Amino acid sequence: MARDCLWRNIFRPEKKSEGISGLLRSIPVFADLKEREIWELEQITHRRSYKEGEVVFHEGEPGVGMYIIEEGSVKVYISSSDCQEIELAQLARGEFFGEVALLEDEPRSATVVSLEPTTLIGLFKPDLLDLIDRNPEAGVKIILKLSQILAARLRHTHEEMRRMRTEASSY
Amino acid sequence: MEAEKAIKVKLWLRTVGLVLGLLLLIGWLIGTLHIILAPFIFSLLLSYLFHPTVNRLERRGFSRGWAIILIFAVLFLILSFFVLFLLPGMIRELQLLYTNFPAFIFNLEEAIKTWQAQLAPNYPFIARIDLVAKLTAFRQEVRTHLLQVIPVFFETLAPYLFFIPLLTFFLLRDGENIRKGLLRLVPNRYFEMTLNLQYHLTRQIRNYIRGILLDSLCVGGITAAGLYLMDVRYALFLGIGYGLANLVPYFGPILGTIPGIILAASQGSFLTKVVPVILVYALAQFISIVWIIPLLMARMMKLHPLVVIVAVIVGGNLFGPIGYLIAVPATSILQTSLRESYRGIRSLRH
Repeated sequence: MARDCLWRNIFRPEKKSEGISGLLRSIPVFADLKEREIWELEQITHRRSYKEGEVVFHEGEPGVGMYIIEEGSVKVYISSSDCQEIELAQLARGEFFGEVALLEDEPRSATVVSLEPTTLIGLFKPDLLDLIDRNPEAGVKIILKLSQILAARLRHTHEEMRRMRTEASSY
Repeated sequence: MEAEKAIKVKLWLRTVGLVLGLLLLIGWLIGTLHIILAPFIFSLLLSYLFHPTVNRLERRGFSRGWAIILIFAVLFLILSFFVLFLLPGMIRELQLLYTNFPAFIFNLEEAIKTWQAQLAPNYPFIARIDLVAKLTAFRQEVRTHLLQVIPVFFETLAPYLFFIPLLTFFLLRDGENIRKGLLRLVPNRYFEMTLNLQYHLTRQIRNYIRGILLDSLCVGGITAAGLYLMDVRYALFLGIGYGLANLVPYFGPILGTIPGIILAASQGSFLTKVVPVILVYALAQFISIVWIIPLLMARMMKLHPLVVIVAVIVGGNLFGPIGYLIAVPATSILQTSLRESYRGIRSLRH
């Protein structure tokens, strides 16, 4: 039984579910990728299952990729200097996190923990580099899309900072 | 804080133990099952070698399956060319070598006798060594050994000729699925670390194999061409032999010159034959060291020469010929595994 399970795990390709490609297509950032590029992207993803309360990654750990939530939900938090949890966000199906690790080698900036049994689709730097080697056009398009997300988040952060500064100066 | 440190140390020790255990298991498997594993390892090496070419063809719009078939077709053409145009010449050289072997040994015996007679008045102990008898025994041993080994060699090779292309095809086509399947077995906690480690190791092994095979091909080609131009008989054989010897770092290039020098000595004087042959070997090594290695292998194995020498000796003693070949990549894998797992575990938290 155990051997059968091992055999299935190693030699059977991951189930070609509508799930991953459908999920990728539903994310705005990947929405305008061609069918073939979505397929290429699907090939380099890894499906991982997490139990309730299981940590996906810790703040300060080295990271190599991003996760997209296929099922379930997660909580993102950072620890304050007195070891208190400061919750940053709760994410659910279709949302993603950890994308900065795809572009730079800095440690994770927050901890992510699953709030219920959760399935995540992981997209990691080594696989992305391999895709760029095989199909530079698709690889560059994906990198460009990721850069657009980061640019949008950076813009949002700037706007938040400006708003906070304005609020602070008005006191 | 102390407790966290203790957990980290425990985790690191556990991972190091796991990596070492796995490598020992792989080593033991190679040592005991190398006859069965040999075609698999060979196919794995070939798949590493052709992987970038398959990727390049995929980039040009070929499907993976057709890209592999195209590579196999080109290889088949090259092999056909080899069999049709080069093999008859090689067989002729081999027959000539076999026919001339007694005369060659006789010439060598005569040379030794003259040399002993010249040196004996000054160094009496030389006269007491019966080199001629030892050479005669060696000649007998080589003849009987060759007659026994050649049929066994071809018998062993026959199934490989079928299995190696088949295994290589599937490893090239489904390697990615097998890799993903193995990664699926890794617990979530160690997944990213394992993926990163596997990426670094694969890249390192792939570069090493490509580098060393291309280096040996160039060294063998330069040697064969050089010896042919110097009018040394069996040039093609000596070139192929030197190319193969070059696969073993440090020792191979030195020991690989011996057959060429002995054959050259039997074909002419020291100045007219032996010196040019030594120069050809030196030129091949010079080109390899100055041009090929920095170009192909500079980024690959960051190992100290002393570590390489010790690894080759230990590998050769433990696993024989396969040990000589895999010593350097295996040591490098061990080094990278320990370094990356140390880095990974050091930054893990509980």
